[in-house]
Amino acid sequence: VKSIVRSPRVALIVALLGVAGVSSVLAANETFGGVEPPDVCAASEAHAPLVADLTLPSARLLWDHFPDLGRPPLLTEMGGPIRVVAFSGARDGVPIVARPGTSTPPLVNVVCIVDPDGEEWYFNNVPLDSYRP
Amino acid sequence: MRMRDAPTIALLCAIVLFASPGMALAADTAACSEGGYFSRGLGYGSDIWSGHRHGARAVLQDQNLHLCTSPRVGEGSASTAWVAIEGNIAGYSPWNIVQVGIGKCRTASGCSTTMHDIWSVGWVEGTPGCSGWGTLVPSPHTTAFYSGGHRFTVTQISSNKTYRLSSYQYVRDEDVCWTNNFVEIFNETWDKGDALGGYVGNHFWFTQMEFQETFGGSWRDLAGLCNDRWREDGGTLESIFKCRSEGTGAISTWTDR
Repeated sequence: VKSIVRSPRVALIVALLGVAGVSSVLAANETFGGVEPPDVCAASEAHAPLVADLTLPSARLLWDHFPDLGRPPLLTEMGGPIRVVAFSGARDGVPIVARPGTSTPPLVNVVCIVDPDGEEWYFNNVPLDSYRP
Repeated sequence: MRMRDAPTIALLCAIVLFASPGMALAADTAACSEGGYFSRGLGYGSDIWSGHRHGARAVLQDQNLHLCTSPRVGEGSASTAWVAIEGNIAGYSPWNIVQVGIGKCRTASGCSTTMHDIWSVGWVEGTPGCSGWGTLVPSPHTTAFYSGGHRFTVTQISSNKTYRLSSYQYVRDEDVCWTNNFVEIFNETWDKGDALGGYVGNHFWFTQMEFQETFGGSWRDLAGLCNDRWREDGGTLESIFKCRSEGTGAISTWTDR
């Protein structure tokens, strides 16, 4: 093996393999680094039909359009303006967290709300039949 | 000469490939294949379904977690590590959760493809106390910083349900409808090609895993158990995703493709 290592050709091969190894490291770590992902609404759009895309001056108007949306404090105290995007039958355009013995329905309705601070919140299983444009 | 040396050269090449750190890193990921958001988890989960868990904390190792490769447009993926308190009441969704940790993801809003501190909160319509709330899916909110290698804490800080997530985020009692009864410390991914935890040559470590059994009480060691392995569909987690007890309050996880 020693005699082979001294061979310039083998040294070249080793060098090339070394470069390939470095490339692999970069590919694993950095290929997509720095590329901002599209927002979750865009991700949902890839999976499901758009039902609504609204900008509301106040979150209090949410229930005028989505009367069956829940009323947690996080929403009732949100303020405005907010952006609301709803999809029917998305394949959970949101990260799914499930545990043993549970099963997430593959198709659910999703309502995406962007609050005044730019934070996005995702409600699923929202009954959209009662949506009022 | 060339023919005679070929086997030796092949052997050398094999040795170089085997020894290359790049190859070791590449072996923990694969091409994205599931369209995104198919979650898997691996780590520790409380073995109780009654009583309360008022705090959870652990040191999450500073490690650059790896995402699946060659994603299609809009395809989600993630590799994260979490400390969580949950209202994981039997029969109800584990989306009843407050969690804090580190990680990266693609596609979903509020996350980044580089490592950041992340947090999340969720609840499920129908869980006792959550009637009329709808369902808020827990999804990562990305901070502007990264503090891997430090202790991450979820603590109930008042007798109601306000939680502090490490030192920077509060989830108000008004925004928690479920009752805490579960601790989970785990890695999570969204695509089969993502690396769940570290890799063969560099496991991802959770250390100093502790919990509070009583409100404001002392911190107690958690067992260093790998008793939490799950897939979104309830199926069996693939055997390439590994977890090992590292003694009291510590586990390590890795992907071995």
